[in-house]
Amino acid sequence: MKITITTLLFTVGNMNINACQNIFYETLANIKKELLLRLLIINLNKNKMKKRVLILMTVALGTSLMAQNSAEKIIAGNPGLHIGGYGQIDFNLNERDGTIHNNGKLDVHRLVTFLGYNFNEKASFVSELEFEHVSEVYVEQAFLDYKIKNNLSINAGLMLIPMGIQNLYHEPPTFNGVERTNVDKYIIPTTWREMGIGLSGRSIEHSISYQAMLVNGFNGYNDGGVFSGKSGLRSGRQKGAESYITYPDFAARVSYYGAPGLNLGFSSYLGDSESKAYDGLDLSDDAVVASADSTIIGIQMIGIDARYNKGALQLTGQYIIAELSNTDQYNGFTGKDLGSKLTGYYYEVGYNLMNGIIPSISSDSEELIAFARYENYNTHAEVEGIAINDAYNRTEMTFGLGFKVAQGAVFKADYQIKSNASSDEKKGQFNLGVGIWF
Amino acid sequence: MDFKPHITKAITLMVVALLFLSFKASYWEFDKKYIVKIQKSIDELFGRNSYNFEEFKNFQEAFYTIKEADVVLGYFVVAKAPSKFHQFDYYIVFDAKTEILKIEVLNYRENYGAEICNKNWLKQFVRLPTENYAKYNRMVDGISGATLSANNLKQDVFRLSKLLKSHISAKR
Repeated sequence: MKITITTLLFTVGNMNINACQNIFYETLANIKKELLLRLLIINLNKNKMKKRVLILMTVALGTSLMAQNSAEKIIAGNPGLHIGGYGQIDFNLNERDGTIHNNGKLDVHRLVTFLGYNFNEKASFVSELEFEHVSEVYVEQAFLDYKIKNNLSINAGLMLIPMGIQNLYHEPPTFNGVERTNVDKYIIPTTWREMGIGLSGRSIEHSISYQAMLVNGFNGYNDGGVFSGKSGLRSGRQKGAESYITYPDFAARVSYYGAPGLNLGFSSYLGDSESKAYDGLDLSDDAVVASADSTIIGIQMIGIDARYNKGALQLTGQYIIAELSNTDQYNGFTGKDLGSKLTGYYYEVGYNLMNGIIPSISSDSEELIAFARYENYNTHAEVEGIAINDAYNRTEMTFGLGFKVAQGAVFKADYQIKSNASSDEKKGQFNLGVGIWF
Repeated sequence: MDFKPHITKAITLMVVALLFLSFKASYWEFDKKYIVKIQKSIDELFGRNSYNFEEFKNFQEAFYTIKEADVVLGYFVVAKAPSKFHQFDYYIVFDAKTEILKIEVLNYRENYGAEICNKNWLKQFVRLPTENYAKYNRMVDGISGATLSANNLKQDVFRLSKLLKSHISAKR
């Protein structure tokens, strides 16, 4: 008791009033408990039953403490700090081009560490720090999540744009193939993340999850055009690094999982790209406003995706379409060749051979997934005022295997046949990779 | 005969019982909605409402026996399993032969992976043989978009079923 009171006095001297009050009440409760125990013991002493009753009490207290612990197991919030991560390590080899030799590439493509902290039941912080190609460092996510209601939370910070499958679920063991799909690179510029504020919620009753957010747009003009015909909007991602904003854009996604095994997603993105030409602009000067207007691209992107799982079978499909406006003026002003419509789709069939066809090697959670995928992505589906470049209409067929040695660890191997609409030439690429997620 | 020691003993026991009960009371106060949901399920599953609950004593998980008079109707457990950053609360109702009758998620906190709350998906667990994870875990389909939560739930359900089975058979 002496110690507790000294601690109390010590803390009074050192801490703010709120924290102090809590400690005071806790200490008071402890003192009460101690007093109660002492009184009991004194009382029992008198009756010379100290030993027996003490044993009884220890047992009883023990059991009630255990009861409390198992209750705590249910009530208590989650442990505060969460550490996790994912990684993708690749080997890519382009096939020989006639007599032309191509070197292979070995790359620690990305290594990402999750750091999350649950402040309490309602507030949590989520972050992902990424090392890309070993030496480039990015923050992939950094936002505060606050639960307004049980099934609805408000998020603010650097967030993933909810578009398509892989921008949201990009941990390597969750997708087939060594590399991410190119629809999710050139049409949806995965990993697409911007600063913003949004709501994310779900209705378990209706099997619906949804996200809606106001986010910063692409950097489309920075003393020169940033978008291009070949890679679409990809180079315009601001990624929350000293990003600038003229007006916010809107992004939303709804997914429906009412039918067992099936997960349907609808995504949309609406807004204008940002432009440095607007910074410090005199809005009364019509001529400069007109030229600044030429640096803006209007974007309407919608996507639909479906994933189906039944036993050993996995089916995945995605279709994305982006309509861009003002590309004629933009290309004229910047000398770029941005298309006015971008489209991309893929469909994929996967089958876990270790579910019935061949036996597992050492553990029950092993999976050997054979898959085939057909993919088309076209950054010049439509153009305005410029000629269509057929080389931007690209098709890939991928065949591969993924050997999951554990839920979050996979060895991958695949072969890709790449072609584009400008010629009949087909190029082969062989990939090996390691994917982890924990 | 000296009654004094007996009286003291009785009082001590009462105090201890009160202490114990006060903890028991707090046990049920974690979320009133949970109790309502679980009771509703039990009413529907067993078609009765005159049962009572009895907690497993000195047990590492929150298991309860559902009893009507002295007849064991079944069991239920309230548990927690991890999703990505958070944990979700759920319960399992077993019949008297420890076969799973129902699983329901009570609170899902994560923004992703709520697919596991789907009632149709959870129905796959009903009467699932749970003696051998390696053998039977594939009888429950995975969910893309909820990989972690689905697997963690699967593992936890197998673990708790096994725990209950071994506890019951040990008692017999």
